[in-house]
Amino acid sequence: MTSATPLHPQTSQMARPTRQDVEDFLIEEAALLDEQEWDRWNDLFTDDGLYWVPATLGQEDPYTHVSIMLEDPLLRKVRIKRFSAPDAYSLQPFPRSVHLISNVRIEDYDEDSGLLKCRAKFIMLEYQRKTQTYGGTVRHDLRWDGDTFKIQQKRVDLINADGVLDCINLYF
Amino acid sequence: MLVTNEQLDGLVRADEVHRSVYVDPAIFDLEMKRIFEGTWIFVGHDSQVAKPGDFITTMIGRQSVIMTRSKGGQVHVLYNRCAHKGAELTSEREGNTKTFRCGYHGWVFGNDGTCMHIPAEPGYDDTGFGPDSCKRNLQSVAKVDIYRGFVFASLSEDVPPLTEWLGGAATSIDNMVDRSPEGELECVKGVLRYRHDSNWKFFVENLNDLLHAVVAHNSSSFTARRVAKQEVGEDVVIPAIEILAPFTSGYSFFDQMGVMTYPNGHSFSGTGKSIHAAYSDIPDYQNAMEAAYGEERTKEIFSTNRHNTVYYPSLTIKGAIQAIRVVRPISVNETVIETYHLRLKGAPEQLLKRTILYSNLINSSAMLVGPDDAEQYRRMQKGLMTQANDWVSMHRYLGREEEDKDGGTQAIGSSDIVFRNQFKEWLRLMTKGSDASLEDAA
Repeated sequence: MTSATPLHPQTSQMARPTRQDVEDFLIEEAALLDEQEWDRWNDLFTDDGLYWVPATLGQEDPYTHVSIMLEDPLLRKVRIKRFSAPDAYSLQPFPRSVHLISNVRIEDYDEDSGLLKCRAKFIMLEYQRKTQTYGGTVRHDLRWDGDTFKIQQKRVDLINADGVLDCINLYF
Repeated sequence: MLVTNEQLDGLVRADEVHRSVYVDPAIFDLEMKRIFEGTWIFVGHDSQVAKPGDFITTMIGRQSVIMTRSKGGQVHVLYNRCAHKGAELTSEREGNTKTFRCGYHGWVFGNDGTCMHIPAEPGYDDTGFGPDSCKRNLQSVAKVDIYRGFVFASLSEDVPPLTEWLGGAATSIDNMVDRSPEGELECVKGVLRYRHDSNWKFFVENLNDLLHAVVAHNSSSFTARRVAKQEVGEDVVIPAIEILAPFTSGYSFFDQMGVMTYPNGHSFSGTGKSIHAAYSDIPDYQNAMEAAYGEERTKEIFSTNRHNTVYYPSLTIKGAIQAIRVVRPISVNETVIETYHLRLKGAPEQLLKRTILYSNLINSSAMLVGPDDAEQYRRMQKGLMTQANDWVSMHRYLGREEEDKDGGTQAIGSSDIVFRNQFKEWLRLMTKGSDASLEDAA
C-alpha cells in the first residue's frame, strides 16, 4: 500500500509534523465517526486508502488471511450507503458509538514521501440494544502535506481479534 | 421432569414444527445430549494437525476435546479432562506437544492419551487406580473417522459407519477436494468466530433457505450493485461486487438453483445453477487442473458449483469457495459460528485470495451479508417467544419433490424440503433412546 510518489512537490520544505498534529488529527477523525459524518470521514482517506481490522494479532497479510473488516474506498462507500438503506434491518435501531483515543506515538516519518506511521490505543463503545466494548491498537499510515493528513491505511488490532465477536456495525 | 418420546414426537409435523424447539432450554439440553453427543460431529480438518505432536482443542456439544496427531501419524480425539481429578488439561486453542501435563497434580499424558507419569505414584499401589488401570489414561471418544481430510467424531458408539452416514452428500466434500490439482486441502490460519443471539437451528436452516436472500440481503447486495454502477460503471469487473451482486439474483434464479436432501438430515443447494458459478476464470488454475486431471474430468469437476452443503447438525461447507462453517451451540439462544478457510494444494494463490475475500464479505460479524442473516435469526428468536401461533411453517412446495440418485431427493430451490428433512433427522435422534428425564440430559 506504499507509494513512493510524494503528494506534495515541495515536501522537503514542509514542516515536520509533531505528535500534537497527529493527535489532533486522530481526535478529529474519531469525532467524525461519533457524529456519524460518514462521507466527511471517508474523505480523510487517500484515493486508495485502506481500512483494515485483522482477525489475528500480528496478521501480516490482508489478502491471504481472513479479516474482520477490510475495506477499500469502494467497499466503504457500499457500507456508508447501506447505513441509510431503509431495509438494512441489522441497523435498526441505528447504533451509536463513542471513541476514546490515547497513547499516541509517532513511529516513523519519511521526509521525502511525507509518510508518517503512528500508533495509538483506543477504546470504542458501540450501543445498539446493548453496549459493546472494544479496545486495542490503531495504526495509521498518514500522508502529510505540510498542513494536514490523509489516511493511506488505518489498521485496527482488537485485543480480542481472534475471540468470539458479536455483530459490529460501525467503524472503530 | 420427564420428556417422553411421545411428547417429542408431537413437536414435529409433516409441514410444521412447534416453536418450543427453538426457545425451550429443556429441549436444548436434550439436543446436546441426543444430537450433538449422539451422532457424527465434525472436529476439524486433518491439516490442522499436520505434524506429529500438533493438537487443536474444540467442543463436541458441551464436551471439551483435544484432536492430536501422535508419533505414528494417527489422529486421536481425546476428552480434554485429566484422568486424575478431571481438570481440563489444556486451554490452548492449538499447539504442538509430545505430552500434556495437568497443572493441578502433575499427571502427564502422551498425545495418544497414554498415562506417562504420576507424581508420588506408589500411593496408588494395590488400589483400583494402579498401573493396570486403563482409567489412568486420557479417554478417547467413542468413534473417530476421517473422510478425505475431514475428521469426524462421535461420542456415541451407536452410529453408522461415517461414509454410510455421509451418503450421497459426501459428493460435496469430494468436489471441494477434487478442485485441488493435488487432490488435497490445507486449512490456513485465521478463523472467524461470530456470536449469534439465537438458536443454532436458525443458522443450519438458513444455509439452504433460498427464499430469504432477495429480501434479507438486499441492503448489502443491491447497495453494492448500485454503488459499483455509480462509481466504476457496469462493465468493470470488481471481485467484491462479483461476490455480493448474485445474492439479489431474483426468485426464479434461486428456484432454478434447486436443493437436494439426503438421509440423516444432510442437504445442499445448487443442483443446477449457483450464485458461485459465474465468477471470472483464473487461467493458471484451469491449466493446473487440466494437467492433473485431463480436460474432460476438469470440466466435470467445474460443472458442480454447489452453494452450501449441510452435514447435519454441525458442519456446513462451500465447495466452490473452500470455506467451511461450523456450528457451536452455546445455549438455547446463543450460537457461535466458526469459519475456517482451506487452500487448494497446487492451485494458484489467487484461489485462496478469492476464498478470503468471500469470507471477509459474507462471514465476518462486521461486514455485510453475515449481519443481515444474524439479525433475522435474532428476530425469530424473539418473535417465537410470543404465543401468537405455536407452529412454524414448513409448508412450501410440500409433496413437490423427486427421487434422485445416491439416495437424494431433489426439489425446487425455495422448497421447505430442507427444513422438513432436518426435522425428520432431529426427531429420529431425539427419540432414539428411551424416554428421558431432563436430569439425565445435564
